[in-house]
Amino acid sequence: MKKIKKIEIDTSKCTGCRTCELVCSAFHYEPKYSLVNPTRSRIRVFFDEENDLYVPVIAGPYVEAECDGRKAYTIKGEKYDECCFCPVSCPSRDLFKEPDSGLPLKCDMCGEPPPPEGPLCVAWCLDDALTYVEREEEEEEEEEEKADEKESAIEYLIKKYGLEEIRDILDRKSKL
Amino acid sequence: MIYGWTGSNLEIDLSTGNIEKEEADTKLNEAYIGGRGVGTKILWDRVPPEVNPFSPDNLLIFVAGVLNGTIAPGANRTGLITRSPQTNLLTYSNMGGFWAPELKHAGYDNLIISGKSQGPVYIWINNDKVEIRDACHIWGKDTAETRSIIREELKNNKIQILCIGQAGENKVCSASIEHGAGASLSRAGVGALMGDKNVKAIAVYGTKDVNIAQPLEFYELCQKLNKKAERLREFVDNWSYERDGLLGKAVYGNLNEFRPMENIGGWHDAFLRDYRRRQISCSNCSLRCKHTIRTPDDEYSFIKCVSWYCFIACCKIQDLSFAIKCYTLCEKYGFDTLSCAHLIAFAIDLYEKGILTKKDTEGIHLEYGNADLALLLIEKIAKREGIGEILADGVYEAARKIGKGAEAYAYHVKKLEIPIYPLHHPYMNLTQSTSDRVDMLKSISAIPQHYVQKSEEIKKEYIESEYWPYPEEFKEYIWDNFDPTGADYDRITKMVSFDVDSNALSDLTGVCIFWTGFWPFNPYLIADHVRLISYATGMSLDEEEGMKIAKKASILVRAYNVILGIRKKDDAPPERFFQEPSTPPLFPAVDRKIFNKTIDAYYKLRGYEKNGIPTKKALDELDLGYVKEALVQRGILGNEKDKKNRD
Repeated sequence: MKKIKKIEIDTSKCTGCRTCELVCSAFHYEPKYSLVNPTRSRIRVFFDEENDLYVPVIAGPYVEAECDGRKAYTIKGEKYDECCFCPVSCPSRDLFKEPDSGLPLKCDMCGEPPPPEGPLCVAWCLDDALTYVEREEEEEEEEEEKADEKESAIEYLIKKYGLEEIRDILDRKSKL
Repeated sequence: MIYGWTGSNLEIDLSTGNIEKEEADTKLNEAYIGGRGVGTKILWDRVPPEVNPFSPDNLLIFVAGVLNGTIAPGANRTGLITRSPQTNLLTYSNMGGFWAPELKHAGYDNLIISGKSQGPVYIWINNDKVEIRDACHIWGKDTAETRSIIREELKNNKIQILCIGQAGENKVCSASIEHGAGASLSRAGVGALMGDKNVKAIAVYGTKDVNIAQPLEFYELCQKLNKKAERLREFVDNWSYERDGLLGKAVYGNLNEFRPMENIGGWHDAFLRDYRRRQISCSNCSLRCKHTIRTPDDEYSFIKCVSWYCFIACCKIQDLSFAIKCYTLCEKYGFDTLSCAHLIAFAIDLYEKGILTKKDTEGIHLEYGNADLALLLIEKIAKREGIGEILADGVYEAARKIGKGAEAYAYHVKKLEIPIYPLHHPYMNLTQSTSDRVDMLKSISAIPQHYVQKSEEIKKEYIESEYWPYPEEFKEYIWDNFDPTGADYDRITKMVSFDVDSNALSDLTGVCIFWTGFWPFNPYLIADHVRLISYATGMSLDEEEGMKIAKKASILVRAYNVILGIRKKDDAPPERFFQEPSTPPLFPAVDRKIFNKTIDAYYKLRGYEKNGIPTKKALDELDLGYVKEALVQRGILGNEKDKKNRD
């Protein structure tokens, strides 16, 4: 069983106030809350007010390469580049990168342990456009992956330091 | 490191094309806090009263409040301080949206525009990179088109834009500067000034930090205020234009029929059901007081508050879709709906009275109840065509041009069209008469009006709640209902004076007065407000000091306008209100004796002499010694004997 944490987005409830951007950027800085800068935020609201489009996008994974085959969407008669809604921090755009260092940003659900009020973008969104969902789920495949991960980590150590040395360490550890 | 403020101003001289980023004066920030305070001081120092508003020497000072760009809830107002071409006075407009917070993230507290460009340009502020760009291709376009062309051109959909439409280009006095989504800097011809300077738009984008001096305290207080907002959100959601708003007591036509609106049953519901698509908010605000709507022609538009029923009342057309059409058209042309609707009613009134004839209107028959005519007139005024040319400088100027007794029907305060309220209400009458710019939101609070004639229970809940925003002694004022004749002016003046200062404090920080003192259940108390300023900037400010600086800002405006000739005679509603009661007779005609006593009592509280000029003592108390000097030098204050005593 694995705990799945997720922020669900209901675009129909978004009022476009961008409070989530501000509070996210304030939280993820040391010392906490000592600055505000939406371009440091791990959530951005893409909006096109002339077409009633309000889409909060949460920073996802970092990718090294720009994607190919970018799609264009037509919503309510207006064309939108897929880039607008993409959560990925990629070389082709500034979104989800620290403005000064250029390092990619990724949502961490406000880290471990999370703030008592839950992820801040959700806590500060009074209109429930963002909701925090936690649920237990069977995730067998991932368990197997984890086992693979451990095995390959040990293989790596053996390769680096030799089987003898690693076995000695493991013996010592098992006697503790 | 600088906290709260960015510490820089951006200066653009359009005549020379010179662009400079200048370090802001820290002392000025501490003495005036920010926003309107700092902006007014800059104007005082740099634009002598003799300067003609349409001169290149007039400045457009766009200001951000000290809390803009932080997580302080509702801190999103953009301010503009300049000299009005319509009233010739120092005028201040402010709006919600995202522009000022973005300006701060671009690294500037204030943007100061001087000079005049040769041809149409727009300004593009991208952090430290600032350009004056050609705008020939967008000149003549409406505000929605302008915004989308600029967004396309700059390839950035996160930029925030201010722009003018055709009305501003044509220097029409009721032209506004539109930002989008129901936000505009308007009234007193600010849009005409941008047109005069040949600036079509100002786009801004920023990626910089706004620093907070005491982060944890600041965060916790903001969190508390946001939680407190739940009660107000509920109130706003249950608000009905019909039951609680103006729809029930609007003033029809050219302010000549005070009567409740006809057929209002179900209008509010119809609006919500048929037109509204979404409630939207300005930056960092959870009150979502604006609506996006779908117009009858399937166009998208934004709407807020009073703007849409101005046309219903002024044109006497009981049709929601008509009102929305007018509103949308005004937004496109870059027009202030309040003045525009009033101008139309003024023209029809004069036509009915035979003062305007078909000769003046190029054969157009003017009448109430004609929707096509109203739409045509909006266009004519925006383009200064025919009758539009006569009306384009406001009712005061139009009446002067027309003559033949038209002045008697030009209802204005200080040359600016008045709101469609019955100004008989003593609280309303006082705020509108004495305000430096007559309008609804700047100096007014709806609280006193909400709580007169309400049940004991409702009053009690409010008075004893954590939302009570006034000094202790005001509690009894709410218990007793105001005398509708204004006979208890002692109380009314105290409340108004407090509201004016409390709202001025919001003008310094950029927090919307919906959070600080407009509705009942406003989350911010004065104490919260000054604490946020202290936490953000690191300066230590208590309630008394905060309110003093707020008052200083409004007295500075008053002093400037006094130099321009404003006196007691100008602090009054149009003559009509002294002659006729409201219909239905909610209020009797304004009693001149009581009104004069009210003004005197109010002046005393503000520190004005009987003629409306700030006293030396008041100016000294507010650290406005330089203002005193200026008023003495100009012979407005003091006499030889005084001078000798001082020497």
